[in-house]
Amino acid sequence: MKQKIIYLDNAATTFPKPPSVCRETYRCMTQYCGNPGRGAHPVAMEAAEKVYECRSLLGDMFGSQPENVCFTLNTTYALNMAIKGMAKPNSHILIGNMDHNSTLRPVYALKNAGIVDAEVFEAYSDTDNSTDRILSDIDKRVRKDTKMLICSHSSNICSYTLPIEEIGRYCRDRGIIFIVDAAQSAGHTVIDMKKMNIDILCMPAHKGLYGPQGCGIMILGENAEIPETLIEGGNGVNSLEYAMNDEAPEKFEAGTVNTPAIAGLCEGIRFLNEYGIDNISMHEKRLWNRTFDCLCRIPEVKIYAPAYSGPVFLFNVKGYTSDEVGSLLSEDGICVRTGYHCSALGHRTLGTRKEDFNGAVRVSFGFDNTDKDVDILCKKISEIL
Amino acid sequence: MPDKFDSDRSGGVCTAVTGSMTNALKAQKTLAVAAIPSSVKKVSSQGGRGCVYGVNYSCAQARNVRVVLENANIKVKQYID
Repeated sequence: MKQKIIYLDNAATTFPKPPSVCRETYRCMTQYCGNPGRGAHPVAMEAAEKVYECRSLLGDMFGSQPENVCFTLNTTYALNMAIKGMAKPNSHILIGNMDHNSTLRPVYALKNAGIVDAEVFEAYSDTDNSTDRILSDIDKRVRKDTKMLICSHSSNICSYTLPIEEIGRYCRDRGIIFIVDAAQSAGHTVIDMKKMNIDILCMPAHKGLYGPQGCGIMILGENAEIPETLIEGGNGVNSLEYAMNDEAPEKFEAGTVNTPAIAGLCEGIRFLNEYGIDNISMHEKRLWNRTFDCLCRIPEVKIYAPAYSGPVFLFNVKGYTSDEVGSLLSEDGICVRTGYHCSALGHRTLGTRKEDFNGAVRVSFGFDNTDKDVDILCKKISEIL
Repeated sequence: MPDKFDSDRSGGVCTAVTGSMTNALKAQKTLAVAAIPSSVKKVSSQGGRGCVYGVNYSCAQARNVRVVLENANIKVKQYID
């Protein structure tokens, strides 16, 4: 890439990765990338040790044990495994009105197949997002057959974040399985599965954890019920048995895991631990506020969910579709995502579906972004007009 | 004390069969914290089910190993003494 790039699409994937992540991924692929759990020879063992190291780092970060950390292809696979693995026939499921399609679509598929009934609760409201209001909304929808509640911790189209500790406590008190999509919150805010009563936590390696793409994570809470499998196959254990073994994590890891990505992820987690999640969060909020301060002065710019600062900023420019704005920004190397962001529910909730912008323009910050990036973005938006 | 078990110096090798590689590694790390050297090994054909993994350690430490692994809630499918 010869053009100067201003990357503002970290909600899609963080870029660039810390150099240590790239080095370790390369080191794995050149020095020790055997197939972990498929033998006890030196190269396989070193790969297995690295995978275990990553499980331990994730367990420490999120409040679970290494053996409860399961590697998947991505967050979508993790959520599908969690949701479909835990769904009880003829039960009722609640999801949030800001949830990503990776929650909506598997639940919709289960509902369409007649396996469950499902309902959307008002995670976000234009008028009142107090914890009491949210819990009250959940409470009026919970039924005797409500067995599962799934929600995004943080939205992927704005910086709204749910009070998952209180929701988790509510679910625990009523025996409702609580699954959290942490795709946009892992690495941006502290998550403690024990304290927050989370049964299953799903996230990607490649967003806030600064690891490579091609790896997702499903973490089971320490006392959580173990899901049924969605995918079966070889996992290096009891190869003569026709059935999958019944213990995590290998129960959920049919096939070869993405060892180079997991190796890189170890360094992404170390990077976060050194940099400090709170420091990253403050940096992102500061950039969000800087973006808000400049764009709110432009009357043609509409900002969504303006009360919530954080890593994600959503806006539109009157007179242009979101794609047109994105194209114009791309001409100057400014990378944003436009459209509906795989968030049918989120865009319905924020009202963009009723407007003529074809979605919205999403700006999302990472550790590498600077004040200058924001200033260039704002200048370009002004020039468009 | 090294955390890896050297069978040449053992005075007898015992095995705790843990099943998965993950549990074997957890057992090895837990024993290392307790200053008990052990090594992850592939263990063949447990009851005709195929290969599993476990940790080898000196039989002189057999009692300590059981205590440490039980206290850490590490499931051991079989002890081979």
